[in-house]
Amino acid sequence: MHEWAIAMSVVSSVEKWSMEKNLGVKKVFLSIPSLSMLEVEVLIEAFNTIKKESKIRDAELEVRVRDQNFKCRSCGNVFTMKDIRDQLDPILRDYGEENPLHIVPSLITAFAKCPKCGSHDFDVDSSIRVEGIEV
Amino acid sequence: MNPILELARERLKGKRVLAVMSAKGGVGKSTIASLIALNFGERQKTALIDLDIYGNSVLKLFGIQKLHEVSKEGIEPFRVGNLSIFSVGGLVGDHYIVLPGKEEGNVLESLLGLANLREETVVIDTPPGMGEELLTLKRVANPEVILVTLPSKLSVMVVEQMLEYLLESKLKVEWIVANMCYLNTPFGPIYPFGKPEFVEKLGVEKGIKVEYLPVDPELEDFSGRIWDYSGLLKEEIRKILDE
Ligand SMILES: Nc1ncnc2c1ncn2[C@@H]1O[C@H](COP(=O)(O)OP(=O)(O)OP(=O)(O)O)[C@@H](O)[C@H]1O
Ligand SMILES: [Mg+2]
Ligand SMILES: [Zn+2]
Repeated sequence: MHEWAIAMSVVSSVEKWSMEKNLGVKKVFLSIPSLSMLEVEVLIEAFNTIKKESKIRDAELEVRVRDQNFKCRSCGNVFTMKDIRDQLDPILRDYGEENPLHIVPSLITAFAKCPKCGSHDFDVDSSIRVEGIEV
Repeated sequence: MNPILELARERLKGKRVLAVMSAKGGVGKSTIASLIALNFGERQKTALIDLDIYGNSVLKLFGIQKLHEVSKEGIEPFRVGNLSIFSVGGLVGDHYIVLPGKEEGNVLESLLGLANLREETVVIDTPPGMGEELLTLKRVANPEVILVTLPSKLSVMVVEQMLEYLLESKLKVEWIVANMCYLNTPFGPIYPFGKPEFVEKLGVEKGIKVEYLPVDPELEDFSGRIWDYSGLLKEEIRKILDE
C-alpha cells in the first residue's frame, strides 16, 4: 500500500532535480530490494497517477528489483534470499502483507540470521534509490 | 538519489521540530518528550516521533501495543487525543530489533519519510548518545534541541560534550533541562544530587537557559497511561513552554 508514498517520493525528488537542472525527464530508473516485496505494478501505477500533477508528466518509470547478496560480518558467508526463505515465511505469516520488511527492509537483520553461523550481523543493501534518469 | 530521504525532508519542511536529546541514558528524555507533546496537544495537533529504535519507551509510556496501520500515504500514526505517535516499535511489535550500525540510518529515514505526518509541531524522542539518530535528524531537518541531564556532575560532564557538538553544528539548543533536581517534601525541597551548580554553570558559560525539573514520585503510577498524568512534572513543563 505504501507503494504510493514511495512513488510520491520518487516523483517529487525527480521533479526537484529536473527543475534544478532545467531538464525534461523521459525515464526514471528506480532500484528496489527484492526484500521489500514492493509491488512493481502498483509503484508504476502510482507513479503514473502522481506524475500528472507534476512537472515530469512525460516521465516513465522503470523498476529494477535487486536480488540480495547478504554477507555475514561474523563468518564471511555470502547468502541470498533463497537461503533464508524459511526464515522469512513466518514473518509473512505473523504480520501479513504490511509486515516490517515490506515497510522498512533494513529491519531484515532483526528477523533473519546467517544460515551458516546464526549471526544477525550481516551486510544488507536495502536502500530504495533512483539509479538513473534519462533526459 | 535517495527518494525516502527527500520525502522525510519534505514532510518536516517548515515545521517546528523539537528534539529531546541527551548523551546520557535514563535521564528522562522519553518522559519529558511525552509530556512536552501532551502539553502541546492540549492546544494543537502535535506529532510525537520515537527515534529510539531499541527502547521505544514512548509506546510503553502510552501503553500502546498495536501495530501501525499503513495506507497509501504511508505509516498511519497511533492517535491519543490530539497526539499522533510514530515509532519503529509500531512496525515490529514485541519482536527485538538488532541492526548493524549502518542500517540504523536507513531505518530512521524510513520512519521519518514514510510517516504520514500532518502536524505542524513535531516532538522527537531520541535514544541516549550521539549515534545515528543525531546524524539522521540533522540530515532531514533543522531541529530545536532540548538537552536533558541530571544535575549530577557526571551527567553534566557527559552532556557538555554533546552540547559542544550541537553548538558547533549550528543546532539551536533551546534549553538545557536539569531533570530530577529536587523533591518537594513537607520539610522543604530535598536535592538528591546536591544543588544543581554544575548545570547552572554550564548554562551560564554557554549562554543557554537552564530549566530545573522536580522528581515526582507519582509519575511511576502513570507508566502506560501517561496521557492521564497531570501532576507536578507536567505542570512545570507547561510553565517552561509558556515562557
Ligand atoms: N522528573 C521525574 N520524576 C520521577 N521520575 C522520573 C522523572 N523523570 C524520569 N523519571 C523516571 O525515570 C526513568 C527514566 O526515564 P526515561 O525513560 O524518560 O529516561 P530516558 O532518558 O528516556 O531513558 P533512555 O536513555 O533509556 O531512553 C523512568 O522510570 C521515568 O519514569
Ligand atoms: Mg528514552
Ligand atoms: Zn555467518
